[in-house]
Amino acid sequence: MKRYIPPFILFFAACAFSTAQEPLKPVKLATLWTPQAQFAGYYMAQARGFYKKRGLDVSIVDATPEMPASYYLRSGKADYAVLWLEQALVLRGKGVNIKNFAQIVHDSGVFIGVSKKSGIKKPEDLDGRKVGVWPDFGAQQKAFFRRHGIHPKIVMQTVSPDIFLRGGVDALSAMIYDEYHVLYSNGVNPDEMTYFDIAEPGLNFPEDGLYALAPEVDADTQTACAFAQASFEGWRYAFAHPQETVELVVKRRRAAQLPATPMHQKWMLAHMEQLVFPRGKAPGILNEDDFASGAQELHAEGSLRRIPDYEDIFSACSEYE
Amino acid sequence: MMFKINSLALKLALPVVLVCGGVFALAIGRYHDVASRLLQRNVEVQAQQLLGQNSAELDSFFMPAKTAPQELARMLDHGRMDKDDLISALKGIVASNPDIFGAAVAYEPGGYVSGQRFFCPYVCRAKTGLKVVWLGSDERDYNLSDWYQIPRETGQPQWSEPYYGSPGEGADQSSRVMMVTYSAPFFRSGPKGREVAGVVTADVDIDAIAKKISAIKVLQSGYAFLLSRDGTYIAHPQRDRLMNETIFSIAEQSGSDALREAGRAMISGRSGSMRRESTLNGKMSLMYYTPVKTTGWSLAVMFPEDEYLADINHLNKLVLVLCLAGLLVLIGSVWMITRSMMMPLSAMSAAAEHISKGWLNEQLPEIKTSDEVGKLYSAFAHMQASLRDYIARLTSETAARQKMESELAIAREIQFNFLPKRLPVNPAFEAAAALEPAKEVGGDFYDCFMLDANRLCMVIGDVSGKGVPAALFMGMAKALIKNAALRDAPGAALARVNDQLCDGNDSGMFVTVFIAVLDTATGEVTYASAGHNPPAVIRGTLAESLKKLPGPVAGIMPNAVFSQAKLVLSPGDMLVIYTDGVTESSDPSGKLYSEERLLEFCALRYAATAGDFVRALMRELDEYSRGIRSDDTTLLVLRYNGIPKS
Repeated sequence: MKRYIPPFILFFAACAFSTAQEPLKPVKLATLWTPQAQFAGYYMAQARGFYKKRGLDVSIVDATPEMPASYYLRSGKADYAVLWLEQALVLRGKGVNIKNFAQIVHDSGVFIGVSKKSGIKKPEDLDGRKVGVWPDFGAQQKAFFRRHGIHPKIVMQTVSPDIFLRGGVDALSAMIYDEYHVLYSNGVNPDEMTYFDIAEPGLNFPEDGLYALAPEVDADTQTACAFAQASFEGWRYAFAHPQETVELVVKRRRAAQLPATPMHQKWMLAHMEQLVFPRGKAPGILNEDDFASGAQELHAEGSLRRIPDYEDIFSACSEYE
Repeated sequence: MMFKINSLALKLALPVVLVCGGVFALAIGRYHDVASRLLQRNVEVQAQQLLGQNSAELDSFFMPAKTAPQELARMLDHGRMDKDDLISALKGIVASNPDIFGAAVAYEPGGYVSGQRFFCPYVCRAKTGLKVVWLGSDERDYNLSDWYQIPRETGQPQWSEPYYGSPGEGADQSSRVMMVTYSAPFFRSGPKGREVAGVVTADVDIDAIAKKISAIKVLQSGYAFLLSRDGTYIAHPQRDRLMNETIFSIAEQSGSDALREAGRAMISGRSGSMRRESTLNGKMSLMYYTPVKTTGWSLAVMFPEDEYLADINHLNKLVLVLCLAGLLVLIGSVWMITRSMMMPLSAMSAAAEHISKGWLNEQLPEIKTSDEVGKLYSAFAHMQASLRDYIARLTSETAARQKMESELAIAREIQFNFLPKRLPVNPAFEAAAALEPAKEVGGDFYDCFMLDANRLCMVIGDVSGKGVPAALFMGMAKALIKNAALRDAPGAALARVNDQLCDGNDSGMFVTVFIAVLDTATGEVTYASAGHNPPAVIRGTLAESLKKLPGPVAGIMPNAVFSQAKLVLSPGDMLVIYTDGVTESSDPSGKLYSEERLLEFCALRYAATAGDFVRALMRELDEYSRGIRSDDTTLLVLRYNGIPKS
């Protein structure tokens, strides 16, 4: 039996809640990217009423390549946003005072993929070649190139890997949970590819985190932490119920008229679990060393003039689960 | 019995059915192979036709969207155009190609107007005619779109992957359609040589053509589908797959590496075929695919096996049913034939059992066929009849023999009763006699009695005929002879007896007789013979037959005269009187014992007593004839001792 609570029960529960308690506090979350299993925890927390349980009326807005999450946050069109640490640091470097109140993805899932046919066998071979890098998500790749002393030609890489498949670039940035499997789903066999793991020691950039404008967090830590806790509950639920989760994600993608492949979302969800709840790292807490080395690289690259203090960028909740 | 018939029928039917079934199966299998190969070839032809026709249609559909931007791009290669000229060129493209709903020229940042990031006039169809929209904003940076970026980076014209877009930018989002954009780059000379200055694009609404492909029916439940260069479904009867699934995600979902490999062949622009289970309807199908050359897509058709093989499967079923029916009929016939063959045999075997118990009149089953069973029947019937005749004859013969045997036994008894129980004992002589009866022929007799104190009479005879009449005749003859011998001399006595026997002898029986009278005092023997063989005399080591006296057998000729002779015996001499049974004893080869052999025997036995002599000769004859007597053998031996001197 599927443990599915009929919506009308949820509705009555919500009504009972709202009449007995204060009215729900509206909260808007901007996700980092188009709907996919990378954000399954928030979708499930919303769908299963984990936010409502904590007095939050959460709406989720999807970012697009043209309208990134940082735009929503900066412009005040969203209360919270899912951002990578590097984006957050760059934003802070640009004077946007934002703060992390829960780190979701602790480890980097970024690889650089090349076709074996290209003759590129080691990172050094990338020198002078065209490499696809996502707009706003290139700090780790750039740090990697610097570390290896190479100067590839950076080409902006968007949603689809077609620019790579058509030969527009020699290498592409690939999330293990996304592009890797997208290529596979477009007929590229893993043995035809070489993937460079760029999360070398000191280059493990923490990725998805929950951010808000710093004054908002400081003013209402309770709401932010309630949101984070509900989100983690959503993640736990999503990993425990992959089928239901994948169905919901696919539904959201369909609604956004995006390619909705259950197999791909299933793959993504399975890989998210290792990133959200990795061994040896406390859920929600931004690892200070990873933060320090990431910030150091950004500083060295020049996109961050002053390295903020850990306490300035991260405000830990008393508990996340 | 029934079980045996059945098991024999089964024994016959089983190999027949196995062999026939095997032949049928082989024939059907081969027939199915050949026929399905033919049908498959037919399907291949159909598939190629279907693919060729539809891919050609797709090619011609997409061709204007490819050539028109290319032409404008070539023009732009030669130099920049005025904004108005550019717009009217775009309008010309859209207006003259009904399948193109929008066309644009997109420039590199600052490429048209220095310092202006975006320059991209887009002409598209609207309700009121053609309208011009300017693309490019901070929020919508067309430089990052695949339709711009890929031709820019590759320097090659490109078809975008299908995507959902609005025919007319800024139009109602709900009216978004599946579309593709063809982008042809144009170039300018830059500081580093020839570089991309921008792209000319044409948008094509592919909803209708995709629907048309999706709606293709192959046989009953077969279908066609269209894959993009990435393997994404553009057309497929299952709408959910469109733009969502790729052939590879479906292969992953169904765990089919073969489908994945086929997908790789398809997106690499190859033609081919593959036998696989449809993921749509689960039917084993033949998939044929061919590239759509203009766009680099792949068109495939699915032929469900059960449908294109329907005719042959139907025929197969029919043939199978016919074969099974044939086999059943065959089993039935074999059973019937065996049964009809076995029924008379079993009836006959029952009859044979009864006959073996002796019921010779058992009615045989009626069989009128001329086959082996019929022959067996007639042989059997013949055997039964012969057996019956034989038994009947045996019975009557046995009865006759029994009758005869009882008669002979009576005669024998009469014969023996007439023989003297004891021979006379006298110091002057020794007498010994033996009569060994033959089985059928009888009638020998002997007698030996004292006529007075000094005279011994010895008689031996052989009556003709057999059975009771002969025995009675013998008895009569013996009595008459004794009576006559007491009165007359031997010759006269024989004459008297002959007359008496002749008198009233209607049956024509006769008797040979030898009479000898010994005078014990003198050793003189007076003898007479009625047709009897002469006895032998042994004097010392010399044995000889007496001279045969003339005279007929007694009982035939009345008033016959019988001569008489005399001989004198010295003490120690022996007189051996016998019937023809002695000399006519024969060995198994039929050779007679003969008088000569008898005389040789006698000469060697001169010293024996009369009793010993009789026993020895009888033993000799037994050995000679191997115990089989064809006639009575009678011996009467006298050894004369002489009168002891007192």
